[in-house]
Amino acid sequence: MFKMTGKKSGAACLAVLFLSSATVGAQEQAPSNDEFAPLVLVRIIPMPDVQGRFDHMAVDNKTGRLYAAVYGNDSVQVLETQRGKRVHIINEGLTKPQMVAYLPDSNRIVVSNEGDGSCKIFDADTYKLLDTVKFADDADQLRYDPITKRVYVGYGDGAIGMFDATTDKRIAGDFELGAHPESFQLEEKGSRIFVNLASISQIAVIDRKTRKIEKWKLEEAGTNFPMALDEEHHRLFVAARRPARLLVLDTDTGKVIASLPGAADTDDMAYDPTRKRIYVPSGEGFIFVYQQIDADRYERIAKIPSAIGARTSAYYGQVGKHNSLYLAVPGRSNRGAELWIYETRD
Amino acid sequence: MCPTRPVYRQRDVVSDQTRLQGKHMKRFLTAALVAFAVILLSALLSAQQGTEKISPTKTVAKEVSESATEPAQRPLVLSGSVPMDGVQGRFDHFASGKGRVFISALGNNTVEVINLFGGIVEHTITGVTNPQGVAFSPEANKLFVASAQGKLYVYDGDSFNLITTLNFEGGADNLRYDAATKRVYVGCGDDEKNGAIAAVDAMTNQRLDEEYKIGGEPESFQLEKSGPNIYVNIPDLRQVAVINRQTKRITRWPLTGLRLNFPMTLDEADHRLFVGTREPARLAVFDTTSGHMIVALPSAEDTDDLYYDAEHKRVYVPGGEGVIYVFQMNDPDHYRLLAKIPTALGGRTAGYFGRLGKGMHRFFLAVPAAGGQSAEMRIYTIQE
Repeated sequence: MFKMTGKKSGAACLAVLFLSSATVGAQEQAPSNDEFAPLVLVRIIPMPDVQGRFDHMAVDNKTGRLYAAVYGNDSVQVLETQRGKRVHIINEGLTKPQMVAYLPDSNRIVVSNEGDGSCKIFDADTYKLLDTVKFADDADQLRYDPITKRVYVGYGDGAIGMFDATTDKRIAGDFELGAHPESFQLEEKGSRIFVNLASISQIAVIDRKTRKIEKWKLEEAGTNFPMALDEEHHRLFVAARRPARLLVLDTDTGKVIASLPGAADTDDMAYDPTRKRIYVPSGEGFIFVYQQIDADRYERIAKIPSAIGARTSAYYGQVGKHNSLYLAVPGRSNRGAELWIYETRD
Repeated sequence: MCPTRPVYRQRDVVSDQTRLQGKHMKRFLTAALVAFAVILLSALLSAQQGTEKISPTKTVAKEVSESATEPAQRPLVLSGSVPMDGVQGRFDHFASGKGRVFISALGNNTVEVINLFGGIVEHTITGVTNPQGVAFSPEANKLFVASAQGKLYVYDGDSFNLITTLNFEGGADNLRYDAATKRVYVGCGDDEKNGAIAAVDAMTNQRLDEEYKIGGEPESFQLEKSGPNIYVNIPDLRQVAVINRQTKRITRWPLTGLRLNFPMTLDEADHRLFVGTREPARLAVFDTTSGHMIVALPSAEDTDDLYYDAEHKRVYVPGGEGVIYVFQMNDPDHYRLLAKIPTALGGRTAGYFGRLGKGMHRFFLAVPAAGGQSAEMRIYTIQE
């Protein structure tokens, strides 16, 4: 009798261990889901023919349509996230596209290009190329300000320029920064723009009203590419690559008030104001999730296995019935490119 | 959960046994007790065996999950890959220029041109039999490819159209580009007579008179920038030859106790030369001012490339056994093994070119196709 029990439990243990080790081994093939995790993978949209590196994405909150720039093959992939399908591929006039911005008022998208420094404007339904706005070189990050109907464009070495989204004409008065601008964030309640200057490990703070530019030097960690803003708590989040840290800055003083171990190869991050969380995907194959306990205290609550090279993502809050984090997964030698959709959980 | 369960059962068994034993001793003092004890002992033994069987598996599973989440030291983090579909066979050496990485696909008779920022194979140069060394000259905007079949191919740096070929007796292997003189140095020959380091003018594509016969087939070699020396591995002679380009003199350093010295890298600032040997697998560190071997550290098996990272003072040694050894220089005389990064079988050639555009600090590893999985160039992000 005892013998039987021992064997049974031993077999059960071995089975569990086998399964768990199989999960670890298969990590790169298929993601493992933990139902208690803050992010749960719910859908995969395949893009088997897409080769090369993904860059930044935009989502239309109304339709759930997602536009992903693929730097590596000069395209924008258009996916219906609700239906789980790719519906179109835009190629026209694109050369090393780096980002897409969706303009809800006019139902158009803007695509920035490193290749010729242009911003291409497309109809978001017909995908017809409508207009081109030229910048000197390397048009990269885009932000849309729906109040002034302006598109802000980080370009060259470097400045933030603008164009009017109603006329597609450049607006004079570029903000010169002295280094290529990486991610930047516009204040909605204030007039400032926070800009990552990764090559010099600084954050530029532009006042759109006074046109004054202040620079905050990052001391303990730099090479700061992605950025997210929590205006309510006056907090700015930066994922530094050297060394890999999550830095939390006070936007009133520019002081670093928290520094946590971070992700190694980051290019996007997002702040979820509902759950007070920060999502940082990393090319090393994980999504780091941090909880904001209060404005000054932060904790890493999860490190969710994803896929090697999956370093760009989009978070647009509530999109239809879903509150999702979208992750671009580039193709590997044994599996084509995909978009992974994670549902955010409490 | 799993390990505790059998332990509790075992304790229950013991306490049950004591109670039952008492009753039995009163009623049957003889054979019944002995029989029961035997049964019980066997039950206990089997339960113990059960736990013993499980525990090693458990330990392994724990280690795996720990290393997957929070490894102690991660100087290199796998963060991307560029698939090279259809490329068969062994890879050889790397070069870089104009945002591209060039990889000799020795077994596939091609050179793969990878656009780094795009993460894509941009072009494939065909028609090269067994390519080995590659070198890029930004000044001449040309790519040079050495073939084991004794040819040096010269290509246009944008179109990759073949410009010309030059012949080298006994094969051409490693290439190094000297930006100061715009010369490509060619490790050529395969025996004591024709083994040499030869030179080609990158601008005119002409072979120069400059040639150093070294008495054996050269493997990896390094050019000094702040001095006249070329350091050359000669495995046949178990030596490092030091060629002085000014005086044309050659001095030789013996590899005491070590054989098959293939890869090599140079740290000029600290006057150190790093040599990888295969028998035994060692990283040998030489003082270039004295020619003395300072230390030989156990290192990766089956090495063919190694690199020095001046920013972090580290040496990266990829090995075909499926690992990258990362050594940290504490000071020029003291080194420690910082990490062993598991990779893939056959991942023995790599590229490291310092910091590239946009602050990108990466290490590139060629992984040959195996078991239905196509070849890929893995991208490792270098950590502080």
